[in-house]
Amino acid sequence: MTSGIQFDPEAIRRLADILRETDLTEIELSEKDARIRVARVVTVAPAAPAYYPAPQAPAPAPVPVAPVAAAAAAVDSLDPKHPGLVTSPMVGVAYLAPEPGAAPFVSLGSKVAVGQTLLLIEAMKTFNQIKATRAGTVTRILVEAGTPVEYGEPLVLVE
Amino acid sequence: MSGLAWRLSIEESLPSTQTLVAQRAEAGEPAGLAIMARRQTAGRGRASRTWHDQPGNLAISILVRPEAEARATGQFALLAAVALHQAAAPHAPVRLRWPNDLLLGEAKVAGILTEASLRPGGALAHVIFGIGVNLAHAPPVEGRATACLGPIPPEGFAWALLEALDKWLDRQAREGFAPIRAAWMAAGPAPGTPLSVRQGDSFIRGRYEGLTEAGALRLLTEDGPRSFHAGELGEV
Repeated sequence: MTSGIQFDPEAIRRLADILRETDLTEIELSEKDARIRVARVVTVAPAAPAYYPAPQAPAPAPVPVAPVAAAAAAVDSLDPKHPGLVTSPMVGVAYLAPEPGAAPFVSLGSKVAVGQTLLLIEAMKTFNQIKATRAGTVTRILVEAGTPVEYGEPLVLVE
Repeated sequence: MSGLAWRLSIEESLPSTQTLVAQRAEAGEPAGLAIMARRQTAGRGRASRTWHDQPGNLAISILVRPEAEARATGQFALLAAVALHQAAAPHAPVRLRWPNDLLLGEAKVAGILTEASLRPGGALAHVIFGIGVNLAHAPPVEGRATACLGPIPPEGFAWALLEALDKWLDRQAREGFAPIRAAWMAAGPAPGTPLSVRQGDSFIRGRYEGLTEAGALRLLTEDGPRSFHAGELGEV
């Protein structure tokens, strides 16, 4: 037996699965000289498994894997606490129009009123109308039609 | 008993029962309204596929207002599936396909389109179940096998469906999602059945492993276990 870690893809998959099902953002398991951390950026990326070898020296801070870093950079100009930011209340698939080929509910620059439908999120064949919580102008649309969204993911900015 | 006052309204002909119930819901209609049409001229299915209606089949839309958070809306789609299965099971050996199609063998006999409206803050404002059941005729649909349950009179079936919904809404309110998940799995595919989920243009294949506690579909794929909250099931 060498010291160090046995790579266990199955363990990582199971952790990633738990992560997705529970809506957690990070799980870390450590045992003697081994550590597995599975993390995701809920705002953008799907679960991104990461695996770290045991530190030889004082433990460095966990380093995010590249896709997560890239994804985080894409929304760095967005304040997650912005009052006009509409986030996804569920895991599902986003649709920007009431039906394929139809005009979208809103587009950049659209003026919206409170209660106006901005988009649909489908989960388990249920189409959920996501509505504006304040009046204003749509300044960003942060999802593409037909793409999966995570809980808490930013969808639309109304300013 | 859920305590809901069910009201079944029967119309001779409507463009879409779903559209009418949605208008009533937005205008403040209390839960328990069900509207069925003997003839629907513009019935809607998923992704705005046309739902093929024929006289003698059931087209009904049902308004409920459960107290739940947005992330639970999919569970009500499964609840409706369990109620539909219960109403249909005395007539034929039907099974469920995730999330809420009713099959006789490999042929579809009924489908549910669920639409939910959310309050600011994320709670459910209302849920509308649009349910189409082939009671008298199996409409020909290109590329899809269809079957019918009857002939069965639509009004009687509608009331059996509302009774079953009432029972499962009551259980959901008292016991949560667990009994609905168990009932769905008892009426769903056998564990290990090969399935594929369409996501966009790609198919993910695997073997059915039941539902997660939240109702998502679990598949054991080449890359390990995965769960799906959305997507359309196809043939493997």
